[in-house]
Amino acid sequence: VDLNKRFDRLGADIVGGHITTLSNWLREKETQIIEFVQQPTAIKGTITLSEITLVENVCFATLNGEITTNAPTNKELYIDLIRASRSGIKWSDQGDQVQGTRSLGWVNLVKRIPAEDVKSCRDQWLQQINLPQGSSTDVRFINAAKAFDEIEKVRINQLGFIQETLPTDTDYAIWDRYCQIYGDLQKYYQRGVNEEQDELRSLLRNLGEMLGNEEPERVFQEISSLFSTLRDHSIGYSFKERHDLTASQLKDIQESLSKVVAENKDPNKAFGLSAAQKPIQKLRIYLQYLGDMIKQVSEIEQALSRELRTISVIAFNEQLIHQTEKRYEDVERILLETVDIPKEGEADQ
Amino acid sequence: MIVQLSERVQALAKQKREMEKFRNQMQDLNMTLAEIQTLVTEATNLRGRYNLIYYRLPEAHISDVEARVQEQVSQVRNSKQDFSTNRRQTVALRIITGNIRGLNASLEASWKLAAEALLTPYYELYNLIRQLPDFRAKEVELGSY
Repeated sequence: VDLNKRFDRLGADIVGGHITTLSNWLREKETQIIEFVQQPTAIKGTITLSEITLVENVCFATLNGEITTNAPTNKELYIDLIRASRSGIKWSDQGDQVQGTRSLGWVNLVKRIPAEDVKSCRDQWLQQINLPQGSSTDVRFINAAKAFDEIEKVRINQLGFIQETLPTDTDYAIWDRYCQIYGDLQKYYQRGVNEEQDELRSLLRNLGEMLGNEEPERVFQEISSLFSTLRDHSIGYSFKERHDLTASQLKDIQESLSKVVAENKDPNKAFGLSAAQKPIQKLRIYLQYLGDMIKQVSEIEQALSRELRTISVIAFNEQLIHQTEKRYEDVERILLETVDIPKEGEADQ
Repeated sequence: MIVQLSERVQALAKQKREMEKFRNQMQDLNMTLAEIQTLVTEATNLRGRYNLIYYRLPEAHISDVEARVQEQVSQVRNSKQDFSTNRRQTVALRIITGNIRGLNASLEASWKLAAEALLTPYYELYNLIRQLPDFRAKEVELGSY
């Protein structure tokens, strides 16, 4: 029977048979059909698109220095992510912003991710938790509960790099794109974070070597005393003293960053590094300043040493003093001999 | 590192200042030594001259010379005392040298007068005998001695 032809009808017994089959199929597939209608792009698996974009957003916010505390609570992390998603800082600016502040691994990771992917991913995550209120088309609400649940899940999973294989060939371009970013982050994110922490550790070690075993306050006092001495002794130098850089600020930076490098648990390690963007920038400024100062003062030291080698006059002066005093005695003796000459007749008396 | 570097450089700066002070002092010492050597020469000349002619000088002149020499001795002593705090004694020594040079000149003049006084009778006698015929006859022969 061709159902497309007019007046062709299935017999009641056949239709009844199909309806039974269809009913059974609908009952069997009911859950999947409802899920599809609710989230047409969902892929059945251990991870949802919302979780993938959440993880990616956490990584982006971290790399972008948008995490505000070393060990954020779920709520703080959620607020940071919302703020980051809405912030005016463009990802493409980050390449320049992190250049010279972050380690090469971190910078390369930032450069690896196109700005449009970051924006799209952030928008997608917001969309996932920004839902319509009931049947309303203009009233929406942020499903914070869902976001908290997902944040909890990805934190348990060490930033959500779930080891299970991600879905591939999903027939949804959006899934493929986010899975690809996710895959890249799986490969490079941890390496970038570790490299960043290693570099920060190295910077702090450099600072420690410069300071010796002294407190920053003692070192800054010494610097001030040194330049005062150089001025008093009319010894020229081109180094510019910076009074905006202070011992107390350096001490705070040193203490806060020491905590960051001591953190070895994965999520908080990266969050700490992210939150430390400004202190790291400041630390580099201090290192540059102190490094320049050491260079200049070492040059002065060499010049003074050279100069002093040419002025070894102390012993010679002592000799001259001795000679001169001897001459004084000679003159005195000669003059006294001149007038003490026995006079004629005196010798006979 | 910074503290140690700073301490080293400050020590060098202070050492440099000391050295510069010593260098300036060395210049002062060299000038003083040069001046006092001139004074030694003048004093030695004075001693030699005075030793040679004092017994031919009038008593008043001897007293004057000895008073002036004593005065120079005390100036030398003053300068020597000042030298311990101020290594440049060129002005004081130059004055003493000038004074002794003046004494030398004075003694030289006196010696000239004394020598002339000593020789005048002999010259007069010589002028007298050279008029004699015997002397004239043998003047060439005598002149060769």
